[in-house]
Amino acid sequence: MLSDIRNNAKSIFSQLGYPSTKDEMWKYTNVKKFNDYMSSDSQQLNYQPKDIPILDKSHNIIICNGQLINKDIKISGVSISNYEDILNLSVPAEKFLQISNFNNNGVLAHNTSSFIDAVHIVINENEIIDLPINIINISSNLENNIITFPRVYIHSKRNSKASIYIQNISDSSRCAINSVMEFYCEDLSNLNIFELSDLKNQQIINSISFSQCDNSKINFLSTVFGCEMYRSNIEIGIDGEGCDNNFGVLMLGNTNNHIDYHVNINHNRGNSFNNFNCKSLLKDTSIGIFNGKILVEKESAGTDSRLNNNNLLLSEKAEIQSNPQLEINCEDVKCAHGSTTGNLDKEALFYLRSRGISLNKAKAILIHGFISKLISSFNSDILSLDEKIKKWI
Amino acid sequence: MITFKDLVVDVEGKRIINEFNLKVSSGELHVIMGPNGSGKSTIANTIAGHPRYSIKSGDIVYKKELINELSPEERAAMGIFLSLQYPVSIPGVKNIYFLKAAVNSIRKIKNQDEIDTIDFLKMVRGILPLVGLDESFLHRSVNEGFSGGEKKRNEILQMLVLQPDLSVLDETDSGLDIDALKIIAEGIKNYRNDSRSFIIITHYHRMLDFLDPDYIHILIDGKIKLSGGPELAHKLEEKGYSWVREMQNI
Repeated sequence: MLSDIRNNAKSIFSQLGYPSTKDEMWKYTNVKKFNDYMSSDSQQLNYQPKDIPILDKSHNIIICNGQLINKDIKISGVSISNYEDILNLSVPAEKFLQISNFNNNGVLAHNTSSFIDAVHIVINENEIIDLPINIINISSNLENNIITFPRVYIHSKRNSKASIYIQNISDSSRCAINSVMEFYCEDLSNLNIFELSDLKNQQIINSISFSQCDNSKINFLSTVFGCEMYRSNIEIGIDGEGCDNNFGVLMLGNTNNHIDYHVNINHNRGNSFNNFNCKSLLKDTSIGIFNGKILVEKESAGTDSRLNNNNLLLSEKAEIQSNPQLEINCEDVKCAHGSTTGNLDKEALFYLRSRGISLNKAKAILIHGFISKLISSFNSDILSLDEKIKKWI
Repeated sequence: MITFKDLVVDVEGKRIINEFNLKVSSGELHVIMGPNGSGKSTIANTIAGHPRYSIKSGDIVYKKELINELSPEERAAMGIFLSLQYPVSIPGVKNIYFLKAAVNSIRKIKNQDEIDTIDFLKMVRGILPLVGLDESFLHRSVNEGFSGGEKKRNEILQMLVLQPDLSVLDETDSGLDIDALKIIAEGIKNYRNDSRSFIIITHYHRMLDFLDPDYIHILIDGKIKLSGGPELAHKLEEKGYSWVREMQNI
């Protein structure tokens, strides 16, 4: 079964390859060179990373170059397996490889056909996991022409609750990463997800897909400190009623970073609430792209969905392409979308300075004010987000 | 305290202040009145060092030091405070955080240690009733969603926390109802002493009735055309600025 899916993905990838900039969804981000990177076998990718940012009071799951390192990890109420365990049928595959639809998507097809290992996490029914699950996804010790395919599947069963941190980190390898994460959220499940990417010279495509059942709840924040090329595809499939979601994205770009978030929020059933808010801070000659779409299908009455993008350009040469969209095929829905782009307010800067606050501190205060609401709903202290942002400013 | 000598100020290439001269001594309260567009706010912002206002010639000497080139924060640390005509909203920044950052920034410039958080809170809590604000204001974003009167009271709260030697109040009385006006006037009156000076910009005499000013100056076309005692404000109320223009043959 899994091998059928992977063979199918292989043939789709051989037909599609990576998208070109002629594809509207990839207009600003050129990933054609992903075709030139080499896949590698598990032996070459085998590396025991050093200086892993393990968190206290958390369950740390370490993935290096796509391979689960600490296979012996045990968390009460959670089942964790690698690909070998799934192949040996010692654990049910559940919806593994079925949430991210690769039929028209070369990027997903390439990951699906080529990953060497996968991490399969199931949060069991009615379980409340007190400590956060911290997934440390490391790319390290790779040659420049190598591509890796991290693959993670997270399944929150009925009436379960967990917090999941995802740290994407790297050394200075000039490799490429095609990463896929799938989330399947059963009825009444509750996930709090905080993704923090702090990467360097890599070319990255990071695809995250969600499929939600009735009354499931997701609180999600993705923060990226830019790298050479970072593309994130977020697909939210609201397939049940009564879902309650709050999604946030924070892009921080400097030097010549390129950060591109593409988001699809698909309301396939009604009576759910979704709030998606993307903020960007762009310095130097960095480029940000936000392309988000709310799609409300027929039979989705009672949907309440919001999509907002606010951008702060901190230099004259920084650039943002912002494109929030709505497609509504149903009556009796509430939808809103908006976009703002601007510089730091000069009058506010003067106001702070006239109270004795230095120019740099005044800028930091305004920047912090700009993002504070977005990050305040997360326990971002654990990953030292505030400290990282202060340093970045 | 502060002396303006032949001050000429341009805003975005346009001359607004032309040969402005004024001396304010310690403990004095001076009032600047004048028609719209006469340059009152320009004077206020120039004193505080707003980068948009460019001094073309002349001097501002404060506490015997030429401050023409000093940054707004350096001026604040020397004890200059400007209450803005239109206080800016800063979403996402709590009032208490802003106040503490301001106090500590000034202490840092003066090479003093940061204020103890408990002492700071105690001080602020003591000041809040003086401006008729309750503690919830400390935890709201700076001026966001504040009514006009709340914004102005928040400015006076900042003045009382920062304890400046020279307070420049730009139309702090505009848009206030009579009760709020009394609260603000009381706040200013209680703060006033022999070592603290005020420059108050206003269109109306009503706040001045509470404050007992030393001098009233009439600013027209960027220059003081007439100075006098408190009675000048009442005369203006009665006769309007045309009276000054006629008298001065402008």
